[in-house]
Amino acid sequence: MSPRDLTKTFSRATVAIGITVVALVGLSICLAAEASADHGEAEIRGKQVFDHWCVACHGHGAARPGTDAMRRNGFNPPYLTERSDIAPALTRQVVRHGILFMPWFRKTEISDAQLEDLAAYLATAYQHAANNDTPKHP
Amino acid sequence: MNRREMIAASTVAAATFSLGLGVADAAEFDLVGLPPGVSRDAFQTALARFRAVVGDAWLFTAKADLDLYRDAYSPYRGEAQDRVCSAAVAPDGVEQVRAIARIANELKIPLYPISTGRDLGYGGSAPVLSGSVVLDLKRMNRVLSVDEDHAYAVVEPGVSYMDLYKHIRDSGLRFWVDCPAPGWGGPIGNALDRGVGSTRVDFRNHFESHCGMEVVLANGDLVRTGMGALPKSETWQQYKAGYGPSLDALFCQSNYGIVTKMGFWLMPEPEAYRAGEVLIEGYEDLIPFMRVLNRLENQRIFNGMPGLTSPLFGSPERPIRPSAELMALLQGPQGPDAAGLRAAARRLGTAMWSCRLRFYGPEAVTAAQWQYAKRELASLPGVRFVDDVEHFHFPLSDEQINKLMDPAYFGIPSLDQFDVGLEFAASKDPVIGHIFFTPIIPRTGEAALKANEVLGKAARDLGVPMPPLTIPAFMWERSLIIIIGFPITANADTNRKMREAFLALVKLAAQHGWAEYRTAPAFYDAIMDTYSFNEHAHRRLCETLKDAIDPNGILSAGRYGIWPAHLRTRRPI
Repeated sequence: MSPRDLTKTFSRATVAIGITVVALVGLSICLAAEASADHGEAEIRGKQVFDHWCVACHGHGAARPGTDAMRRNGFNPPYLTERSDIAPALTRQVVRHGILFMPWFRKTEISDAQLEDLAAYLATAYQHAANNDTPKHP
Repeated sequence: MNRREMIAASTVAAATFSLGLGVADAAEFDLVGLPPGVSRDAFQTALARFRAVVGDAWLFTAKADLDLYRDAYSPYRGEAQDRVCSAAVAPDGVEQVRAIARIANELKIPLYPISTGRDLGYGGSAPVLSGSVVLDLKRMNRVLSVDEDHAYAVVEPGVSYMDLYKHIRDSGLRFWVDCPAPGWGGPIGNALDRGVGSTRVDFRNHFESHCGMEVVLANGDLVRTGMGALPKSETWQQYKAGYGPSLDALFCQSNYGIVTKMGFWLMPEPEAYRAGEVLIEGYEDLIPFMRVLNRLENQRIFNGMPGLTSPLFGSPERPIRPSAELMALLQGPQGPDAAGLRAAARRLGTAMWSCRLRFYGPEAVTAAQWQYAKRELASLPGVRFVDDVEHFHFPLSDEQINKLMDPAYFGIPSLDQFDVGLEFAASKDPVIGHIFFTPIIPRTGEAALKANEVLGKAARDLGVPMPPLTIPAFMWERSLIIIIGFPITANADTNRKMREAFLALVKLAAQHGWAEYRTAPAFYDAIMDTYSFNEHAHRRLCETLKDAIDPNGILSAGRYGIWPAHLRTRRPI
């Protein structure tokens, strides 16, 4: 029996999680002006960072804890790459400080330069999601 | 300064860090603290020499950077005892590791090597001794070779399971990598912590499935184990023992060296996987069932990990909240009511237990193995079978992979187990991590039922959020393991209660002859204390080895309860 099996029958502690996530998303909306529409090369590199480090939790699929957490807390769409409120400041904050069950990342994992690329990608990825494409070289 | 004083001093250092009180008069580096027992001059010298080895970008001394080395799931989150480092240094190759070890050994700087640093719940990237310098090996992330003919891979410590999986898949090779539930850790770190996976029995034990390692000792010396000790060896990853004493296990759950390479045997992708379900009617019917199950596994009739659960509470995918009547039958004052549970299972048209048997191999062979297993189990009273509850042929398509609930059963690393964070509810506090109490118990039905009645009940009484029934897992061959999860929250009071409950369960388990296989650093010493046969002969021998192999005691002080001489408070009674 896996740890997940063991805890499936627990009740959910989602209210506090929801408040925290809402607060952070609120922060991101305040800072949304930071998100520029076209990061070009940075976006492309940022997608590589996302695919390497983030997609296992925040992608599409049967068991994606980050996506599941967003969904359970009422965020629609629950995918980071489809949301228009992931400002760079939010990405920097969560990657370096974590949020709830999500841990932070060391600079040997995601360097400062890679974090900026990731932030640029997540700020605009939703536009590509809406167009059903991916960042391309300008 | 003895160990207790050292720890107290490092706790003060940790508190200083958390207050942001830096050292104003640092000559060269803007220090946030010192390693315990190390002078400012010696530390400044060491940092300057570390920087000369790795370059400015890969030596970290700023508080914001060092905070990233804290254990994200620490049961001491936000408290003075939370472990912090005084610096971190990230080499890019074995020669840099050797140079750093030589410097640290000369200047007596405590080093704490980490591989991927993702062993969340077991310490993450934090040192056991606050103030140690973390030796971050994440940049050493090369898959050095994958040998198709001999089915092995050689990797560096920073390689994650996801990296190795991708490398093999991109190479078009048909091998599986047995991986633990969280896939961002790596084969070396996981094997050295004696981690475990989910596929075939001969690959699940990650330390046992390795073959050959390269190790940097505290003085910078370089050792290769097994056949690697032979110059120009052609069989380093093909024959484990080498000649003379087998040294590999010295570097597992210990602090005797820095492992810089390891070979791992890979599982050839099977033709098929099938799983059949055995339904066992009564609570105590688990006892005869386990006897047959063990005989089947010990003959390798099934080679996957059995999965035991109780259909009374639904499936892992669709849990059912048990009724008050069921809970009363399970947790009555005299313990579980076996007759009542059997009657309830009949009334509900289900069974008390279900066990999934998993088979990897050729389609026809797995079909025959399942038929044989059913024949052997058929004599159990009231037993029923469900054929092919899972059945796959390989390779899987991307669409199939995306739909898997437990990809680790197919050698596919993921992070799906972190869904556990959504499901804990110890209190109103948001859950930010977990630790696990995981004692090994005998592989019998009697032990499984006893552990439910002893440990499950005690954990509930101690306020640990528990499922209605404590069911063992079958990860290890020839034994069972109980997994009790403890949520870590942002509330220090809740975390203190969880730590106290954890220690109470450690003591209770030891009274029954059961002990942890692995634990979080906060409990290293408590667990080592339980392995006390012959006046702690095990710990005494570990310390003798420590003193001989690392006489200055610079490597991973306190890891798995092994302390260097200058940090020991006492010899065991």
